[in-house]
Amino acid sequence: MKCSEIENHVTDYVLQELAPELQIQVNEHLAICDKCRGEVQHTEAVIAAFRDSARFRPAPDVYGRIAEQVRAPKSERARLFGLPRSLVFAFGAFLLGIVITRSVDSIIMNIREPSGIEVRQEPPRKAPFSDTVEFYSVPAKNLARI
Amino acid sequence: MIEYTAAEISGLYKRYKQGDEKAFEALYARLSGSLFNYCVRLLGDWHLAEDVIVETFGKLANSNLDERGNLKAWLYRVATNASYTIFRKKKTELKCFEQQLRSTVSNQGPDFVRELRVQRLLTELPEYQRIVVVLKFYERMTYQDIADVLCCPLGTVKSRMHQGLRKLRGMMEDVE
Repeated sequence: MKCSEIENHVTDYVLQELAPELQIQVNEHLAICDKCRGEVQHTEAVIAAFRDSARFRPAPDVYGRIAEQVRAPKSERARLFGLPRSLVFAFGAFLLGIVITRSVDSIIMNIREPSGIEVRQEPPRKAPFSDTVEFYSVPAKNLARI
Repeated sequence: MIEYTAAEISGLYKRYKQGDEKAFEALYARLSGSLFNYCVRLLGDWHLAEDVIVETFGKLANSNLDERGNLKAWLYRVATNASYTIFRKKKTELKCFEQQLRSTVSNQGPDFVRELRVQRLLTELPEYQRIVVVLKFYERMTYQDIADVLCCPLGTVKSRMHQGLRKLRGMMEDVE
């Protein structure tokens, strides 16, 4: 095995993740190559720096927090905003339904009435003879003298 | 740290599901230490790590898992997902870790300096590499175990590990 091949296996070798037959080949190379042995030692030192560092443990009161959460009555856990969870979800689904229906309606309307075209509504036609009397304001100068 | 086997963990979980609360306490005693250390190394914050532990064991208590499954991988997956949620909201900062470390390790001593240096190196790694590195270095998981935790291919775990370790080596050389 060449040094360039060993380079690719150094990490797995140090972490003991190499296949047994590959491990033997790397061992044989390391026995005769100082440079690759140095690479392995350097990688081992990096990993050791982490493995030798402190291990932190949770504070004693953490279990109490979990126990409190677990012991909470199911009815309490099943509530959201002070209401039963199922009711909140049903209301949410109802609102969502309305929003979706309205947005689908508006999309359909937009398709039917493309933007840019103004739709004018014609005024209702007057009947030729109507019973209603209409008064118009006429300027005084236009009135004939009787 | 209490030593345990996968069979023991499965047995305790089964007993808990049958109503034995002491079994849950035993599960916590066996798994919480390493899980908490994992979260502290990932997040660099004791308080956030405690929140993740509470959330993870809370989910375990309310879960209905198959006892034959890999319970340890499940717990680490839940904790990792919870940590990812925190990563999205907040960038990992060393300042927080330093303040909390001062209260536990003798101030400015060699232990303090070493711990701070290790955490600084971890913080420099992107989250996806940090997770693999911490699971491998501290939890001594195999590549396959890590792939089970992260639900990703074995090749992805290997490449993240190689990249992470290469970066760590480079950073340590720079410091030296």
